[in-house]
Amino acid sequence: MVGGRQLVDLLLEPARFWRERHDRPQTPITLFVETALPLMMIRTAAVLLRSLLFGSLRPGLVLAVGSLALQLGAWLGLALVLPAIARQFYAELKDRDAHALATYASVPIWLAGVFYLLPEEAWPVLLWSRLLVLVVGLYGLYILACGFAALGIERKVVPGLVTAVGLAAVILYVVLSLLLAVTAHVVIFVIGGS
Amino acid sequence: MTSSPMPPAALHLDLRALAGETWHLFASRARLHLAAGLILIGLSLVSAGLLAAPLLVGYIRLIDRLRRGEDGDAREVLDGLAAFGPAVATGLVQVVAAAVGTLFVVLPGLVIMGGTAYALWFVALADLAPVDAIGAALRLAKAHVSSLLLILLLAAALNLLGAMILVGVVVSVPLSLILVTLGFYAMRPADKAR
Repeated sequence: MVGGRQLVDLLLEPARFWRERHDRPQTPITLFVETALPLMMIRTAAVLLRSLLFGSLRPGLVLAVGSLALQLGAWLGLALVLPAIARQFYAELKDRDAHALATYASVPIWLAGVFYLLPEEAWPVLLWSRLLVLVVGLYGLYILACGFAALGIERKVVPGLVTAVGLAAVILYVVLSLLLAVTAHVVIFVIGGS
Repeated sequence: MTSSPMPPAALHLDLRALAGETWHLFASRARLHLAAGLILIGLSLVSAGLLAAPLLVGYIRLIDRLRRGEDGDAREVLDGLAAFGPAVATGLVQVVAAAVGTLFVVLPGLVIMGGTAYALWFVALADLAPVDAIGAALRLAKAHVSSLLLILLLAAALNLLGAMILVGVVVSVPLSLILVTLGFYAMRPADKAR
């Protein structure tokens, strides 16, 4: 798993982090098991814990599993679509690099999953917690830009490429959130509330 | 139909050209597409989705004729009813498989929907039987997963935007169907000159 030290390096000095990672590439499975899954569990655990604190176990379990599925789907979707987006900017990305970019660019938004501990009942708290998730998540775009630079992608295409990837990530999150929200509500309705 | 083998190399899907061609095809016969979209959406809703697949086949064939510079009429969407059996069977297999996949936390259902997304295009444009169409769609998805996902994301984004202004779907549905049809040919260039 990516340790605390490496996480700090990634967040504080992404350019250096990418240079070092470039020499030691990881397979998509290693990235998933050692980095993506543990970090996805932060939001999953936060959602479950919040529900437990408010005494709603079954809905909490459904929402926690849905939350994990959302992050997993967005990560995988982003990793798969990255090479096609890169080709729009005449850049070639290997599958392995695409998975690494999707993983490390998602680290901030996965870490921001801790804000899902905050209660959702009061709308100002809900609004601020989601805004915080968004703001922290945006840092992933900077990590992504550093990653593209480390992969030798032309500097002039990086801003466009990062914007396009950001838009794709937003669409992925919106589509998956809608589908998972509908499914979660149906499941909660079927299994009962408490 | 030509059954071209899948190119092993990564496909360069030029999204800018595809979007330009999509808009040109829509704008050059905007009224026809709006009427065709209304027929498709209206009759699909009235029939509780039963006619959606055959009407989609009719519209895909209409788009294909317009793409080749031939004349067309919005009522030709109804010609798809001639392929009622294969279209409904294909759609049904897709929906049932996706529903079963959805039971396992949504993502497998999405993978099935994405993997078989082009099945109705194979029914409409290659006259394939349901099982063959689904198999061909899966092979296409496997060969061009990144490009396919990019096209589907763009189509989803168009329809999300359309749904936000409600009547916008009358525009977004034809636009996204033209985009996906042109994307089909971009991924199967051997069929384009058909």
